[in-house]
Amino acid sequence: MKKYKFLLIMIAFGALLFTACEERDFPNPNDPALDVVPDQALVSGVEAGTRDELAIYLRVVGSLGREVYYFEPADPRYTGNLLRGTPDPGGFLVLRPWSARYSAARIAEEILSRAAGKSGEEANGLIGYAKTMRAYELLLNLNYMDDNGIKIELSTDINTPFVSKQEALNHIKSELDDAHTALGSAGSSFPFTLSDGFASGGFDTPAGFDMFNRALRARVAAYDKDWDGVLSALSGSFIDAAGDLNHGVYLVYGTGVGDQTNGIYENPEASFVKLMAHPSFGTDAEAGDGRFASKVLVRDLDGNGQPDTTKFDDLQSTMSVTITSSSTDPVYIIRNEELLLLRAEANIQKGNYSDAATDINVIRAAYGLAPVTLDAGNAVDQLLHERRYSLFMEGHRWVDMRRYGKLGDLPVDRDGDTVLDKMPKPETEIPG
Amino acid sequence: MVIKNRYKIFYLTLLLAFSGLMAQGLEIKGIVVNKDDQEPLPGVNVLVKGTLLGAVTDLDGYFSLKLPDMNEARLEFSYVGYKTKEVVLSESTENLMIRMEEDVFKASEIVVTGLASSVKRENLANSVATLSSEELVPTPTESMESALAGKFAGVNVSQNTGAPGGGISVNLRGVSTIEGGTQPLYVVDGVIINNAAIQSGIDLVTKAAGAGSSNPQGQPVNRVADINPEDIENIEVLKGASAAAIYGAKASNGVIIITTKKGRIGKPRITFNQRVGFSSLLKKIGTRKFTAKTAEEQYGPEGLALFNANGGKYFDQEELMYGELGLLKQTNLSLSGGDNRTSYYLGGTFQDDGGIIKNTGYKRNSGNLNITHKFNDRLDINVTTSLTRTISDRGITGNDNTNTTFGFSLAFTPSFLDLRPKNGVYPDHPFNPSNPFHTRDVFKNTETVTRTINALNLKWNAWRTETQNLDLVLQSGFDAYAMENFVFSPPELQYEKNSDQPGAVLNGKTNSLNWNTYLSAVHLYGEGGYSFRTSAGLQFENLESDNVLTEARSVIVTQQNVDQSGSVNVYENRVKQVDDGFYIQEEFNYEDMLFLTAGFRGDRSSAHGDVNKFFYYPKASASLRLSQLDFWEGMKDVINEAKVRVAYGETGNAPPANAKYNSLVPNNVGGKTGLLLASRQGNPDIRPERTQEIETGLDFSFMNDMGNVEFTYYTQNITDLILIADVPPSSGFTEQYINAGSMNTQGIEFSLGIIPVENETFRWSSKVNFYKTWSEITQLDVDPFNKGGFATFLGTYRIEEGLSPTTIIGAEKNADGSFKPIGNETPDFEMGFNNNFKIGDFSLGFLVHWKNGGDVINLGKLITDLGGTTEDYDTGAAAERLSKLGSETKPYVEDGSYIKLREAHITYTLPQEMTKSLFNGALDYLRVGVSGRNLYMITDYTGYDPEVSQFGNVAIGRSVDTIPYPSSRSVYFNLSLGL
Repeated sequence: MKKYKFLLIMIAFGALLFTACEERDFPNPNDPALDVVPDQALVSGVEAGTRDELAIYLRVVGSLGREVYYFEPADPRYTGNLLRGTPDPGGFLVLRPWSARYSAARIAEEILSRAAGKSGEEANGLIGYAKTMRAYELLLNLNYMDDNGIKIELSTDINTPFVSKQEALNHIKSELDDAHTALGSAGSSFPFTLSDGFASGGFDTPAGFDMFNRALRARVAAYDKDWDGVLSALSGSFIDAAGDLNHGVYLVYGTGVGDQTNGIYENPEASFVKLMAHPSFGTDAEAGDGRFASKVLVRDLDGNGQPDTTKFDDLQSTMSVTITSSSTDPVYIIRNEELLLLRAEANIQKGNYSDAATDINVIRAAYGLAPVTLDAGNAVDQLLHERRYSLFMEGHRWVDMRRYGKLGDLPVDRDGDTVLDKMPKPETEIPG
Repeated sequence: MVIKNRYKIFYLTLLLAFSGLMAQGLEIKGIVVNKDDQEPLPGVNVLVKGTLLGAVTDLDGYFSLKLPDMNEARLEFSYVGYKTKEVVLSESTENLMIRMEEDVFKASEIVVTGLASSVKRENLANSVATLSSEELVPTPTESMESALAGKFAGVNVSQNTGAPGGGISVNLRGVSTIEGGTQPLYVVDGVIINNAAIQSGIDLVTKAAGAGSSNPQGQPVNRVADINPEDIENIEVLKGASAAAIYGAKASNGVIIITTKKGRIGKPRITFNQRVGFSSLLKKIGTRKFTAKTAEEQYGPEGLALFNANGGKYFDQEELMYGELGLLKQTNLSLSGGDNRTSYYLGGTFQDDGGIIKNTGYKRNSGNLNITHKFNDRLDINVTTSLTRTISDRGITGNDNTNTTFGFSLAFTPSFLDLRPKNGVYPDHPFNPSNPFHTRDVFKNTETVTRTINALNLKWNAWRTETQNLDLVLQSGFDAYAMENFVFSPPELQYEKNSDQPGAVLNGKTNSLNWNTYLSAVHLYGEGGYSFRTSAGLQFENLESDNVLTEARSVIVTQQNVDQSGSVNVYENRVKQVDDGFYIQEEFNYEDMLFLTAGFRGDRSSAHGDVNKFFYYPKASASLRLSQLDFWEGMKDVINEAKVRVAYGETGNAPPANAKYNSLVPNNVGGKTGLLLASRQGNPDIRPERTQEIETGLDFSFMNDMGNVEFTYYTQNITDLILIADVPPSSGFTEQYINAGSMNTQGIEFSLGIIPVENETFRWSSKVNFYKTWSEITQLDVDPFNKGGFATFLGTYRIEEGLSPTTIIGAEKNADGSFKPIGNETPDFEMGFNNNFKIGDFSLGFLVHWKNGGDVINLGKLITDLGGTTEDYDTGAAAERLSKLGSETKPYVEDGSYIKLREAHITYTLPQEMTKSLFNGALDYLRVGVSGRNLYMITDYTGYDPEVSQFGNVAIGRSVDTIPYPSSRSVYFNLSLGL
């Protein structure tokens, strides 16, 4: 009996010790805490986060600008309320791209708060990078919201106001200019590394990154109709009429662990492709335009010489989109071709039609098209035409047509469809 | 111990008062038998009432008692499953014969109410539902919870999908949370078991979480499904906070206490059951019948060409996909027995169930060993160990953004297409990214679980006198499982061929360990008609699990290893929770007439914002058996038992283990580790939810236990509701867990049991349950919000002050711009109607379950409408529904009422004489029978089954149908024998 008792009491205490000495206070077993991660992880986080939900963004603005349709059998909204002009303010088409931009911006703020505790070239490098990237994130959301404005202060307080479109543009401009200044005193190299999306074009040093900053600044100036501003910003950018039109900054994708694929790519010859070009992209194309041939594929899977028509939701198209050739192909943020078009646009607005024509004809020549001459009568339409084909599915068409008050010129395909001018304010950003 | 001294004085006074009356004493010997067949009953407890003295009958049913200090004794005979019997003796006797009868309504049952205490049902202040093994599985099932459906008032059991292996929600007494855990705490032989639902990762193939809703949608099995129903001896359901308060911070959803089978005193018994049956599709949703004209309208010239190519033949795609007859096989073997000191039970089950879709099914191999040993009359040990291995093949069903699941693909498959392989080659689907028949035949989605549950229960009777007793109890155990999820999407499949990285292998591994230790002391003081029971204890509860999912793409043809691929992604999630607590409880019993309880539990947890703060959960209850009062005497012939009861208790619901942390999630680029903040902001102040419940009820038995009635009303106030509040996304976060609301849930439960006929050859017992619950959000500190579903216009739930939390809304708005409720998931009421008949050697029974009301968002219908294949498409109804899409959601919100024949069985037991004449009398009994589950369903719902949840066991947003694995009916032929 005594033996049993002793044994059992030992078991009891053993069991007790086994469980009782567990510590209740422990850090998150899954993720590191923000204060212990290195700057590099935040810098890469912003770059990586800039890609988040970008596919949704591009599909949405592409659909609104009638560049493409997105035939999504599992979700009727892309071809439904988006084209009918009634997107759901609580739906993912509005919320997810919007939220992803602020998520990256939030990490950029974290970098800035770290930079505040540092000094000299290291601090300036971080500031130059973080402010430029944050400005870009805000710019994409402003493209979505336009007259609805955006929030420029990152806060959990729902009463944080939306600022007007003009205030937002001013804010983005001054952020880019602050970054430009910081980059000027950031030394010859960054205290962090950037991916090939920056490095392969030489944009991963303060001087190189500043050219990217100026390129974005030129785009913003154009949105602001500050044509001298466009030209002066471009002079600091990587614009090069003799250079590769694709030279620029882009987002890179990969299949490595924790990496992303671009979301835009679909096998253009699959039996069913969701992302299809709007028929007008075919009908409006100039004969022999290399841009048309490279950016879409007229599908003829059965090889009978007749284009195959894909129908969905009373819409149809024969062209799949080939701006990427694999899911790891990059997606452009800004490139030389856009810069030349920005310079042409500023020159048109300033009445310098022949300077504008020079840049436009550089591009046309590159795609096997004859030169054009510009005058007050045709210049804007010609510019919009070139931008449409040069920057297809890069997020510009809808914004461009809106800038020029020409949304009404975009084709509508079905009774009840309309061209939306701006996305609604997200449901979760407004009290009530 | 001031109180105890007071008892002592009381006790001494009584002792003095009675000492003069003591006489020569009593010596009692006797036998206890079963009233029906006069067979002796070993192991019957004999208690001398008013004392702690007693005996247990031996292998042959005999017992003896020596009571030297008494000249009159009230003996109470109790045995599980039999009515307690009481006799008063004033003379010694050598041949007392006690005949015990079966306790159909369980009035005499002992119900476990605390961590180390139990109470006789007749004294209970709560409505506690119990179920014995025979009541649980007259018809076999894969997942134990499904066998609870319709059997109890206040217990709502609903499957999420018909897929083999389970995935079932048990909801006790209505909604009690918005974001917290919804499932009851399951305790098996004192071990808190893990009931997590772990995603298979199939979302990575279906991209179901890629648009609309980012909630995981793999419709996983919640792991309580691993408990073998055949191993269960008894289930008790503590439905509300007042009954479950002693389980504290984990008990807001109630507690389900499972006791596994144990050996009993008696000769070794061997039982063997063999069941063979089949499962088949319960209901078809039907499909559009195309003509040449409609084929051309819907699909253009290509459609017409295909229609003509197949000669306009009609292919029943549903039948081709879901028409499989699943073969069901189950074998159970058990060996049990014991003597006065040691008893044992050894059980084993082999189960192999085919599904109604080819290549799906479920297998279980399990073994269970239970040993009880009395070292002496003071020290008992009980050890249970079980090992289970289950394998389920679940196919690919449910929501989808790639049109690869069977349901979505069929929705886009017109009746004139023949997608079956020709010469071994599967044709590509011309109108859909996948050929579902090809997918079905080569796609794999297998879940394999190996699990062991082990419990140790040690009871030491430290001190005992005639009036006092002190037990020290140690309960300790662990539940560990290793789970493997394997998904293989071969590169030759249509949708993979067209993908940029054809072919995917997902390999998920989960290790989970729960362990807990309870130490309790129970002091009992009984004297005269009074007894006080004081119990106190300490609890240590821990859990940890680690889930690693490896996703490989561009897999090499025929290879299923994750390293044979072009790219790999890995995901890992750990869960860890460490809790401890203590409790104190006092129970007072006066003459089995008045029963009072009070106590509280204190708990702290690593999941709380403040890990060192104790949260306290008090309880108190009273029950009074009116029928024991003098004035009732005259009424005893009519109402032999009457009790009023009231109980109060509080419980908690812990926040999710990671709610307090800000997380950083990896987002890598160019080979560099990048980190972004998770979209959910951490809340360092998060507290558990608290449920306060008052339950009150009336219980009657009438006509000498020919019938009984139980009526219960409860009201629960749930405060500190944990919500995922929207945070303005411009902050960089999109949501945060906060404590920000209150809710009230009320309900009534009524059950009536009667035995309309009972004689030598025929007995009919019938039980009816009726229950109803309703809830309201009483306070909300955040803006009203929508929860669940995919989008407002596709139907979602509205959380708003003054509304029921299960209110369904859609695109419809009132004139003032507010959302217009268009449905409610909570049913108007539910009823269970359970009947059992014994006619000579036949026994038969059936259970009907009626759910009245409760709406379902039938997006499956939207999918078939979009696919142009809804059965009513040609009537223009689909076009009508689609034309309103975006402005009206109501056309896709349907009434989910149903009446189901849940169970039915008929069993024939060979007459004793005949059994004895077979095999030289080796057989104890031999039974043959037929049984069925979900045999018939009556419903107006147009989907497969109104019992559905695309999002699994969520509190809000369950009833969303996106074409799950369809429900099946099963029929078994049974042979059962005992040696």
